[in-house]
Amino acid sequence: MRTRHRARLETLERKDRYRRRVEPVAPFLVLAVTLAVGVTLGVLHNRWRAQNRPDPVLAGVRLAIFPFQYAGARAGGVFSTVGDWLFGGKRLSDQNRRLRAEIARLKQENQALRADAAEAARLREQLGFSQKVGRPLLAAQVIGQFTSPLFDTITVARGARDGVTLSMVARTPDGLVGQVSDVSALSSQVLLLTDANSGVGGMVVRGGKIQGVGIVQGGGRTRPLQIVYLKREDDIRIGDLVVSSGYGGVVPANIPVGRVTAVAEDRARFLKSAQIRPATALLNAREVFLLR
Amino acid sequence: MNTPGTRAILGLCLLLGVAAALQGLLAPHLFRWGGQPDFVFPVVMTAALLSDASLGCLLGLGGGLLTGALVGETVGTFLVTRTFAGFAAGSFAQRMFRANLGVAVLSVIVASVVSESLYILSAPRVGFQKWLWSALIGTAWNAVLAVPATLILRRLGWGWGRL
Repeated sequence: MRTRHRARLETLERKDRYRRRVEPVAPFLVLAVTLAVGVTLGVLHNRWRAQNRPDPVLAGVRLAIFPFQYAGARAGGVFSTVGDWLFGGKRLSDQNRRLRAEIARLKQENQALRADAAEAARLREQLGFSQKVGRPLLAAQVIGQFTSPLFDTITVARGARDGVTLSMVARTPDGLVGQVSDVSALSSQVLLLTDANSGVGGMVVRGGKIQGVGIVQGGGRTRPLQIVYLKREDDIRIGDLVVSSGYGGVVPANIPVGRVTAVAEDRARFLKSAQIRPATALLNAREVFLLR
Repeated sequence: MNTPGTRAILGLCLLLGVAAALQGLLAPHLFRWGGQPDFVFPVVMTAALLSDASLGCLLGLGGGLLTGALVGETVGTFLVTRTFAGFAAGSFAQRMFRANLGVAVLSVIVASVVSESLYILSAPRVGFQKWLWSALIGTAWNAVLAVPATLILRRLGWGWGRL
């Protein structure tokens, strides 16, 4: 009886010694394993991105949070509409007046463009050029935007299931928005034009004539969007239109980017840059179109 | 280990889903002086605080995955920094003689400082000044959001008996 009791006591003591030895180290072991998992996932994410392939792990997480984001966006839309009904009186009448003026201007512009398009088609046919066909658009609801203060991205409710692929171009009727940077089954991430890591070929246009060609660079939410690497002799003025140049091969040409608000020369006076006010109000965009 | 029950885990998942939705809908409208709130971070760190260092690591990794999925950039950095922050929050709580809401706020601030410091050390694509403002404003927001996050998680039964 006593021997059994002693044996049990020894086992308990052994267990206690083991627990005392392991317990202080256990959290560090868990930390090491968790960090290893984190680093591996991070490396794999970068590798998949370099290969232009979507990250299946993040895609899974996005799939899980999609219902919350979608429901939130719908609820936000309902609140906004109700707010407009209740408090939007003067603002809506001002907006109506502005829109009527805009429609009149666009009608005129449309007539002129139709005439130009007909002439261009005739000349194209005479010269034996192939006919240009517009790329089909895919409408996508914005369900999340600017989730980090350091990166300018939005999330749209269209994913691989709808035919979205990496590097697809996002735009609104007003102008360029950005490019798809990550895709999951039901949603996609769009890196905005204004992000500090974004760069798109652009050109400054006035009266249908190209005034300069450069790179449109984002500056995040604290610095303005700008077009850089313009030549010193380029005649750039405030109010000039900046459109995509199409030289990169990904973003089609002639999508409006914004208007020039300031022009500056670099210190060595070899190059010029110009600040741009974006054509699209990116913070309040509720829907974008993805170019297939 | 202060193991949470099924109700607490489900509640945390639901809370994280709501935080993820708010991050994309509300946070950008609160952007001031280069920073904005991160709704996911205080929830994850408070949950870590109400558990322990080991579970804190796992919660941190989960939070990093969620933030990475929301932002879509510097995913590896988010995973590593959040894991360390979860560990820090869990360890901080374990070393406290008596915990209360003030301790929750303090530990979330410590976790934010750990996370942000590691972030700038490992993600050189972000400018220092831009990061500094974002980190300062973000930490202040995290401290404020830690209070409702702690109260909600306690109500859900997370870490009952610790605070």
